Amino acid sequence: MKLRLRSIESKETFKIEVPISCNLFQLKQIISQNLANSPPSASIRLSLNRIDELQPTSPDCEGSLQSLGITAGDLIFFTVEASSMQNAQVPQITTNLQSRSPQPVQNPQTEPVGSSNCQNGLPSDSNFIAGDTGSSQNALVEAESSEGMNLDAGKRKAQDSSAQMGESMDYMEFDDGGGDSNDGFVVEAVEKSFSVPGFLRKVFTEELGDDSGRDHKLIVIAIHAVLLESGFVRFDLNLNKQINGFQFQAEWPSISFKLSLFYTLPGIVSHAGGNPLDCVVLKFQSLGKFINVYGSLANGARQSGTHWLRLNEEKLVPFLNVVWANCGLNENISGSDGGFMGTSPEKEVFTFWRSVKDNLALPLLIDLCEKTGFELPPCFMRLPTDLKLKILELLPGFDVAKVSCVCSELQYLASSDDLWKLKFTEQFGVEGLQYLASNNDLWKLKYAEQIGAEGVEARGGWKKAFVRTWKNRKLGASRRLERPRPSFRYMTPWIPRIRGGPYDIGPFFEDRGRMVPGRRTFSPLCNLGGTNSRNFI
Amino acid sequence: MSSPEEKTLILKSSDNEEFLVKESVAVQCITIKNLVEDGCDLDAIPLLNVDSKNLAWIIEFMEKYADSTSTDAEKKDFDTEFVKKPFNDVLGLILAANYLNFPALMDVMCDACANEMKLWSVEQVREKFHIQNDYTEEEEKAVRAENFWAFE
Repeated sequence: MKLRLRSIESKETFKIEVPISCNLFQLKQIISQNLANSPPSASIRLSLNRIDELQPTSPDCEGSLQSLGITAGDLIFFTVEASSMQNAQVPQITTNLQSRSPQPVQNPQTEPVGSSNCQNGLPSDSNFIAGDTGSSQNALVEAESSEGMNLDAGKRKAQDSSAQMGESMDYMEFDDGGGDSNDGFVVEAVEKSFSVPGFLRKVFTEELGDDSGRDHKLIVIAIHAVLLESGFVRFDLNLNKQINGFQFQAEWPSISFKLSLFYTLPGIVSHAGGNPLDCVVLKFQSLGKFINVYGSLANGARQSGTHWLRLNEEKLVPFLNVVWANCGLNENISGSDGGFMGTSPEKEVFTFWRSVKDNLALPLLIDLCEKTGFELPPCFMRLPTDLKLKILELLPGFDVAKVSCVCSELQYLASSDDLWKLKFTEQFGVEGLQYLASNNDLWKLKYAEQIGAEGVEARGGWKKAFVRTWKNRKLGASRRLERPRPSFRYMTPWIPRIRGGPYDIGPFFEDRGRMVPGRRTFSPLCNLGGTNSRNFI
Repeated sequence: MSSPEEKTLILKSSDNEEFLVKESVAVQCITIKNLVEDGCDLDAIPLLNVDSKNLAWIIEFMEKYADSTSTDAEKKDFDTEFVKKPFNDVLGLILAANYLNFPALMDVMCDACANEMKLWSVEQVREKFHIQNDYTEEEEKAVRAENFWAFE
């Protein structure tokens, strides 16, 4: 299986191929061979999360890598150390981080012990902050000074840092993230209708705490909120389980950053047990003042396509900040209107919400549901037929015809004769009906010529009448008067009118200005066929 | 201004959220009205096909419409704002209103849906409603030809 090895010091990554039954010791040997200075394999320390060293499961190093939780494609961090990993690593990392000059973090933030989701496409030069799970007093440090890692030993580098490290914040407990958000949301719902700003605020507060939030984070969390509201949950691909709350790293390089997040549905999680789950992946890419978000099905389902959204971060962040800062205020003002205030920030945020939902969350939800066979979220085709018809009734005739081009089911619905009678009456009024009635048979016959479409299978009924009358109105009343009415000497069964080709029932006449179809007539009076010039002008 | 017999109903959504609504407001939903008239004496009326998000919206709408002091113009403004939701929320509300048999809301939401659809091309309808195009190439050509007049 292929593995990626990344040096903690140099951030260089290289790929190796190891046999599946490889064990830890063998892996270290392979790594040592790949390194320039070939350090002794015993001095190589490996980790999946840069904190906990990978230890062999059995004393004589016989356990395979898979027993340690390593699978193909995993990213493994390594460092070459003589002493134990934890003690030695910290100064190294500190040095490393000091040597870079990342953008200042306004307010530090921590997250519980990073699981191996940090490997899933997080930027390689992001500062990874780890805290003890359940510890609520993890203080973060300004990246410029020294990066702190809260080690199991309890060492707090944070204490050594300089001024920015003023705040010790309480953060939501790891497990409470999801639960609280649910409860909070529901409580709000009882009092008022669901409000976009309210939900956003809730998620912001959970995830960012008092952090005023860097721009990127704000947008990412906002999009995360939309996905949460749509029913997704965050998901750790490697641990194969749901994450509640948000695993965040404190520092994102400002120029451009990339981030991948995985989401799935709770139903899928409970269904699949320990098996690999289907999920969607959101990839964020920052380009100057824009953020691109790409959403697609994970697990390489190429045929599902990627949904893409570009957000103007510069424009959006102030509004998101306003929404967040107005925690509690707007709710009182707006009362029962929930989020529908006339204020500009609310509107902007709402437009954002809607566009993320419609262009990202919902398509991904539908893709995932289709792939896994889950029930689709409400979408047009899920409406009962009578509701679809009701909506079609509200459309003007032209749009009904357009809709019939969408798919076969809609075509079927849109071809309802009663619907077209309604459309006809709406469009042309009662006079149209009367006019039609007086020309019933003729217009039925002349339908195809008037439309003038090759290969059209003309149908009886109100749709034809609609089209016919519409076209005639278009051509103008005068022209209509010029055409004398042919006699009604024959009652012709309706024949699909196809011009030309082997199926034409008569010689093809190019000139459509004349009312000369030039077709055979099946008439009791004229059984010789051919044109009967008396009937045509 | 509630009469002595003014009752408050408890409506319970599919995710077990309970909402307090005055009876006079709630009976705009014919389903609820029928339940009440049939003498439903449960503590809370369970609405199994409506989740809390939709139910909250529906209650908001009902209260606005039951309010005799609000004018038609105000109601219209309210409607305009109310329908500005993502599509699947609009469709979810249509489904919920259908289940609850709430004609006023149905009309408003279906109107909103139709108004959106008027602006869309065929491809946009497919994309926004996530409808699969199940026509073959020939079928598609044929149906477009048949309806060409709608595209003029």
